[in-house]
Amino acid sequence: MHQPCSFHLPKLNNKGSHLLFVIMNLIFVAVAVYLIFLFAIRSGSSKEVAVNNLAYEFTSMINVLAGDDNKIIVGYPQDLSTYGLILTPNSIIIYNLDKENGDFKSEKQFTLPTTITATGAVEAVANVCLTKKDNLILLGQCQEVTK
Amino acid sequence: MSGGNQVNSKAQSAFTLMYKVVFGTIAMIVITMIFMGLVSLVYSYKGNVLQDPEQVTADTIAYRFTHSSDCFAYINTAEQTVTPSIDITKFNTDQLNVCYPVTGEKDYEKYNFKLILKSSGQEIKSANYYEAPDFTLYYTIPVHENDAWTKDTITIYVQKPFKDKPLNGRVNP
Repeated sequence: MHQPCSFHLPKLNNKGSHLLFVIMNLIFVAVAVYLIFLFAIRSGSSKEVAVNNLAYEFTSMINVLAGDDNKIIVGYPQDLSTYGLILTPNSIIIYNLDKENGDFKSEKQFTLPTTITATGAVEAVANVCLTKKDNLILLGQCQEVTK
Repeated sequence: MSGGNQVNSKAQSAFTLMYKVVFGTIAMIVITMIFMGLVSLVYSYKGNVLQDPEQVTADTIAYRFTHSSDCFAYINTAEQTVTPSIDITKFNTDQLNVCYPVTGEKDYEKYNFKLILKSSGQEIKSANYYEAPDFTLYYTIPVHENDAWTKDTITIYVQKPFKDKPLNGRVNP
């Protein structure tokens, strides 16, 4: 007579089962905490706020330039070599070039008088200037626009 | 007796398992709720941080009304100089539409303004102004009329951008 071959997992005693339960709980808590931190870091990235603030500041500068008839040159007082900026007649688009904390882009609309237009684009440029001359607002590297 | 002990032991084991399952379920629900709360808290905070200051935005736009010759500022054609002021001959809707053209179909999504000169009561407004001012700006400025200068106050009612078009041109309460 052959007995049927069967495989049994070793039965854990109370202590073993409790230890396993504690280890599982610890792993679960660790994973949950990691996920929450990951989410918080991604969501609260200062880069997105920085890109948004930059776009807002440039929009304000453009609005003020549009409201003045004189020739004006305004330099942005911060190194913008990690950003790209595109100026069109009715909006400015700013995006970050360092993708460490994510890929962020901000576009802000503005309304210029019908007699004024705006243009220009820069990428990885440290000194960015806005210049208003005649009926054109130009975005560019400071040395270029001041010529 | 031994049979009874066995039943008790089985029942105890089932109870322990049930206790763990119930505890685990409640713990998962609580953790999920905490996580959802955190998510909404972070997004709410982020929304506040990312919001542009409205009064400053309106102020930078309104700057042109009194400082640009494309708007209402007086320009001395002989000397080609612009005085921050209101030239009464230019204070009309046509000039406002040149200075701040928000006549497009979806331009209710932009800032809209109503301007009133205090002494004369003259009033102009941009194309998508629906009599729903959110705040008001006041400036004391020189007014040029009939080759003479007077001092006046301009009141600028600011209507913030709408997300949806107000029904029948009126604003929902």
